[in-house]
Amino acid sequence: MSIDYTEKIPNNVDLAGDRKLRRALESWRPNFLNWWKTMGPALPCADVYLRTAVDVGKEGWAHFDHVPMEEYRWGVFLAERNHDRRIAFGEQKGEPVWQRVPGEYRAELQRLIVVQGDTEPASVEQQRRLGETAPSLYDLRNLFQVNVEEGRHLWAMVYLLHAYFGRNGREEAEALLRRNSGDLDSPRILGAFNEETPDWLSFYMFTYFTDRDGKYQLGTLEESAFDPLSRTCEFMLKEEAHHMFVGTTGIDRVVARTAQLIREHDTDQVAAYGGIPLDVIQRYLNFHYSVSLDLFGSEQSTNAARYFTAGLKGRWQEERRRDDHVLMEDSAMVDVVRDGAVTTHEVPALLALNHDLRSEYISDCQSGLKR
Amino acid sequence: MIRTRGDVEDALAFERVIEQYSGADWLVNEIRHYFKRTLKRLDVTSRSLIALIEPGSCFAGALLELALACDRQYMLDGPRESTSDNSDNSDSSDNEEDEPAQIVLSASNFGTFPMANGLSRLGSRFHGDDDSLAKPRSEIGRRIEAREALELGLVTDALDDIDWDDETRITLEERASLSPDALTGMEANLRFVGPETMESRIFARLSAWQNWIFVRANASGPEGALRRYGTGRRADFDRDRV
Ligand SMILES: [Fe+2]
Ligand SMILES: [Fe+2]
Repeated sequence: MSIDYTEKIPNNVDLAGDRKLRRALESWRPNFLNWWKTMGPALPCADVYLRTAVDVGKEGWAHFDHVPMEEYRWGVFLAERNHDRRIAFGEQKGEPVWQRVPGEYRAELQRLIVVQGDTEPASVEQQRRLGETAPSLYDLRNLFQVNVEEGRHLWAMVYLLHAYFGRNGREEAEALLRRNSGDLDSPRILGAFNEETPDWLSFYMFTYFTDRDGKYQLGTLEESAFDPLSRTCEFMLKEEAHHMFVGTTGIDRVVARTAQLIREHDTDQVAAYGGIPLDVIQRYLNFHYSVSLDLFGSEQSTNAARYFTAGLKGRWQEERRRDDHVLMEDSAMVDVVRDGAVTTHEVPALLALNHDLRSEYISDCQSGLKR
Repeated sequence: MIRTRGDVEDALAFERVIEQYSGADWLVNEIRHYFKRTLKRLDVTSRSLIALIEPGSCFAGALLELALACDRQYMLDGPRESTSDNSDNSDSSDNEEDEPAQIVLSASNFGTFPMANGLSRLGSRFHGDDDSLAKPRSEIGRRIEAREALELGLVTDALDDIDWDDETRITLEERASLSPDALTGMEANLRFVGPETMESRIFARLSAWQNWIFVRANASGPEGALRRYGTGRRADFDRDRV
């Protein structure tokens, strides 16, 4: 379904025909715009052109066009529905996916969506002052691009809360705008999203490591038996790729410049020449890598196991894996600290799903590090 | 699920007849006792009881006891609008459902139909909280709409028509997914508060319920909740309520 731009809220979810959803989103929208004004980018930004999704084609590919920042309109876009889609894992493997929330899983699904949704506006808040110190117009555009898309990801999660979780969902959608990154009284839910992003190296590290965590979390939700969640995440992942690109190329440029200065001046004390010393880069990396690892939760988790068994949250690339996708009998090795030393320990595979996802993430980070 | 359908005034009129003649007329007296026993049967039913109070319903006086015997009461707030919004103009018909849902309290709700514990259902609901019990008493005879019913603590929630279908569906599904034995125990606990009577010793012994829940297969059987706890696997429940 193509995106309807005649509506106040561009969408491909037939907002015009859904009284309930329209009322909820339209009453939430002014609060969002107010939040964007007070917590969004601090730098006024005329003349910055941003890409915006204008259509969703087959295979979920987004088509983009460019608009000036003030004309950017947040909306609700889901990847195309696959009518034959079936649950790929867990106890209900093989059954048709759900088009509405089963009452049994309402609380858990809502929690997963709220936690994901909370990270989206958080990063906008963390990055709000970076425009003032942008190293170039190119970087400024990338920053705003990331910001508006995180804003849209918030819309995506709010859409799910409004459309499928009733009054409770609407309350949670409001609360997403009330919590603020680093706020002592009502902080964002996850630790990494309450840290500061005070400078551009932090921003590159954040988009490299923390947005990459986002990619993996979205990847597991994309597998969900709750089809609207799956389709939402599928679409978000297209945008997430660009965020990580910003991180990768940002860090690339910083490191390349440092290396160049080291060679030119034959010293690793490059600060005096306007470079960032390698040990400083290393410290930034250590920090952002560690706080991002924390986002994966504890290695052994019965929550993660229940999410999997119930079909709420799969593994990374679930359908490409060659096992039974039920994991009742399998086991996995996780690292544990025993008597002051790190050793491995065998546990039921179901309990080690956080560890599994984190391992995927670590090897992805490793390949960036090598480069 | 308990629903009623009819005119509030009719319900109250029947009630007045029964009140007026139950001392003198054996049949009317029997009817009153029979209704009392019916309500008591509901109290000891091992089922989740949910009242849906919608436009066109007649939860008034004695019939309101049906709702008060339930574990939860959901009341539709405001009129029921058409679910599709193809037409923006409100098609005004003289349908009774254009009136919002209402409940009416009467003396019947304050001791005419006691529970096994000797209290009225409102007395059980507000046990130990005389102020909350006094408030509805002063509202006897008045038509009470959803918001006010919620404020008075007479219903679990007041939902408007936009939320109604979804919320009630999810509530029922959510409830049905829990352990049936645990629900039976929880409901028995919540229904019978306060003083023990000979009757409640027989029908509402809570200490016995607790042990019973844990020895049932749904808890301690190989697929029960206790055995499955911490494995990430879901307990398999025998859904029969006993
Ligand atoms: Fe995002
Ligand atoms: Fe992102």
